[in-house]
Amino acid sequence: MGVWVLFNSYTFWIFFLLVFALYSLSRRNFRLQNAVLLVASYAFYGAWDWRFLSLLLLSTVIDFSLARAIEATENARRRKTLLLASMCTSLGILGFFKYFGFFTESFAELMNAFGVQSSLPVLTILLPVGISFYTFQTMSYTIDVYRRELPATKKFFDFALFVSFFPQLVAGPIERASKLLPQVLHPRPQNRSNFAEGLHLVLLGLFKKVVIADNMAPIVNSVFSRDVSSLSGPEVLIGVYAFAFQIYGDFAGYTDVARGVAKWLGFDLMLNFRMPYFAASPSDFWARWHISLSSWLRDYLYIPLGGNRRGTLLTYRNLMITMLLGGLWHGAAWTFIAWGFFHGLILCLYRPFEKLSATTQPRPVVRSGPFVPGRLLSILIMFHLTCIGWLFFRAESVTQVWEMVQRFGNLQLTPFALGAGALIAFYVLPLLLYEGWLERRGDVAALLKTHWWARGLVYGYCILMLWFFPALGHYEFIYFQF
Amino acid sequence: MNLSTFSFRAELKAIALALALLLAVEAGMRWLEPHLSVDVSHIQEIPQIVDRLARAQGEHLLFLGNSTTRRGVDMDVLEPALAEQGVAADDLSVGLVHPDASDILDWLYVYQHNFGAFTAQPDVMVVSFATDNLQDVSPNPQQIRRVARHHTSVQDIPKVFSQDFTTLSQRGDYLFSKVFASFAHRERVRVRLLAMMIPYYKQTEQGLNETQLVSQTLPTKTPQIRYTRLERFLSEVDTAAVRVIFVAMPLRDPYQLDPELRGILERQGAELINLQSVPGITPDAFLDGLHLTPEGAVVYSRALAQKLAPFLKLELYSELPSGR
Repeated sequence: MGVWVLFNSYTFWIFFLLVFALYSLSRRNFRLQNAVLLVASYAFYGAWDWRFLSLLLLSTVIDFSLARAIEATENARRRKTLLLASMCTSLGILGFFKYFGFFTESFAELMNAFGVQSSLPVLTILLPVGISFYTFQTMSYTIDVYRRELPATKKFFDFALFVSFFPQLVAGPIERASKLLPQVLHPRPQNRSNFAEGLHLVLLGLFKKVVIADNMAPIVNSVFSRDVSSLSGPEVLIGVYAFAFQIYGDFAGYTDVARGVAKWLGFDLMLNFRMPYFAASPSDFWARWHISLSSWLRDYLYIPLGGNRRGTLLTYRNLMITMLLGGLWHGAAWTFIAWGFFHGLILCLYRPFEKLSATTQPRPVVRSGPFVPGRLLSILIMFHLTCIGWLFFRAESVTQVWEMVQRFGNLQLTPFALGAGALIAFYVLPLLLYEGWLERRGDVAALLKTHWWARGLVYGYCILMLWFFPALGHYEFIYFQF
Repeated sequence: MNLSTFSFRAELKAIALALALLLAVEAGMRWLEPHLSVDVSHIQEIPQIVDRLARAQGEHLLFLGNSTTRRGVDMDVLEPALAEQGVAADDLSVGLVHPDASDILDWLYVYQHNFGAFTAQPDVMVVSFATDNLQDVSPNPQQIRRVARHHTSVQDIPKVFSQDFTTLSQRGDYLFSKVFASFAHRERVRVRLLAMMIPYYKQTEQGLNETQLVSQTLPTKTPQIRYTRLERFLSEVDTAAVRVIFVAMPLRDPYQLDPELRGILERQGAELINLQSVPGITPDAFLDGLHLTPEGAVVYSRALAQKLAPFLKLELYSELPSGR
């Protein structure tokens, strides 16, 4: 993995300083600024593997051209054909690099189960980093142009920057063209609060990745790599809790830093995580977790399927299809599909209760915080349902999931469970308290509106934790594998 | 987001407060540094150890190693055992330098940093090693920080960066450790604080480290085993004036001695004593896989004395010490 790509590396920050310097020197000419960012973005991506720059460029050229062709014609059939061509290309590229091996292996296993030897080709295909993110981003562009929600841009290089913008290229957020493209196409006014907002995001993002995620990783690896029969129930629970915070710290941390860096460049990227473990229901969870993906799936899959407008059964069908494909988006493995299935299931199961709650309870006048007993119970239940999902997500196989679940019968509280549990509490509790406060305030940026000394203390805490408590090993960003 | 109440001055104050906290911790760390651990206080004492040895009477014998030396060489046993072999204690002055977890990279810079003047060099230097301590292994972060903080000066930076710390990550860690004591000692602080706060911390960390050792990519060995640092070390030491003896120490699990290593030592005029297998040292003589128990140290020190005695007698009684 090219080290430039890693936000927690010296190399990235030297790279960013150079880019920022050139970008600032070009501030009188935003076209020149865009050129600087485009070159930097391609250099950023090429640092991982220069051969896949051509794939990024191909995806850009195809969707730019097809969008313009869609806009140029009023013929409905032709427009649809061009849109399908765009989607087939994007999904074809994604399908080949990400799913070819999975489907051929699964097909071969199925044939073997029926006693038929299959001779499908076996290919070892390197997954281009970020491919799931930028293909979805370009698809949303052509779909929005088709829907006439957005004019197709005539500026190829600006469009190329929209696709390849380095802060969000490899792990999101999956930006909508209606939001990011105008920022690319027009001068970005210097907002004095950009520095403060960027700093806030970068510091907290690095804290989430370096302190939380990377310190949870050894606990997760220890639990999930051991022989399951040697684990006690509390140890399995600790492993799952650790993974819940590893994946959150890893992914939310990366996107926070991406948003912070973009903010310093004058760009506003969408919020991707909003205190997800304070969700009180599955639908609430998906309004808080990987918001850019969940909203993409909602707008381009769930709603076109009919959403909740065609009766209960079809609503359930649409929810399941959306969540299954959402699971598959994460990776070519049955565990990801099972994870998606699980989330679809709980969305369906919760749906009657949410509808009942919406019709029988008055809208609260005062926002209730997370520590109100009834809400706290809902949050705890939802957190543990999410953790069950994470068990599917992290496990090596569905068999391992089942074996680990069976270990819950062994209630032995081992020294490892106590020690690892205390480590999780040490690293994670301050973050949860902070996010509980944000939840109470109903504002993800509440810290920016507090007194400077409160902000200084929080920043000081983050810096000291980054200083003294980075993990001893080196851990990749989990979402790079998607 | 439009922060209508945003004040740049307030933001600077917040940053200043955060940095002030860091600087306060740094000041505290510099004050606490000698008391941070036995190992740190020993490392800080190395210049005095070397100076005492240089001023002492008799033959100057320096032991250079790591924690296996600290645990394995019992001077209360070694000196009488040498005396039994005919090496009088009054004829010998001994210094021990043994930073924990150190290897040839550390020893190279310890030697360069402390033995600049010819007259400061020991007469006999015994370098205790095991497994890959003498090989060119990619430096781990703790080692980089140790070398930066204790074993090199600012003038060494060009050499260090061109020969040993060649990646940006290594150089960044080196520079931060050079400037900030708190950064250089971050692992020690981490372990100390967590050991105070986390129940069963050592057991838990051991379990986590075992998984890491199996599955995690640690600083990797170069594909081909090389000894360039050992060669630099030997060229640094004037082997005409200093008798250098390498001692392969016992571990619970035996290890192979590379023929190339033997060849290099022979070509460079250094001696090799293989004490991997010492009668009386069994697997029970080890606290862990590496370090001897006090009882094991007694057995080892006697065996070491027996092997060292001929070299020391040759130095002491067969020729006049150089420069005296």
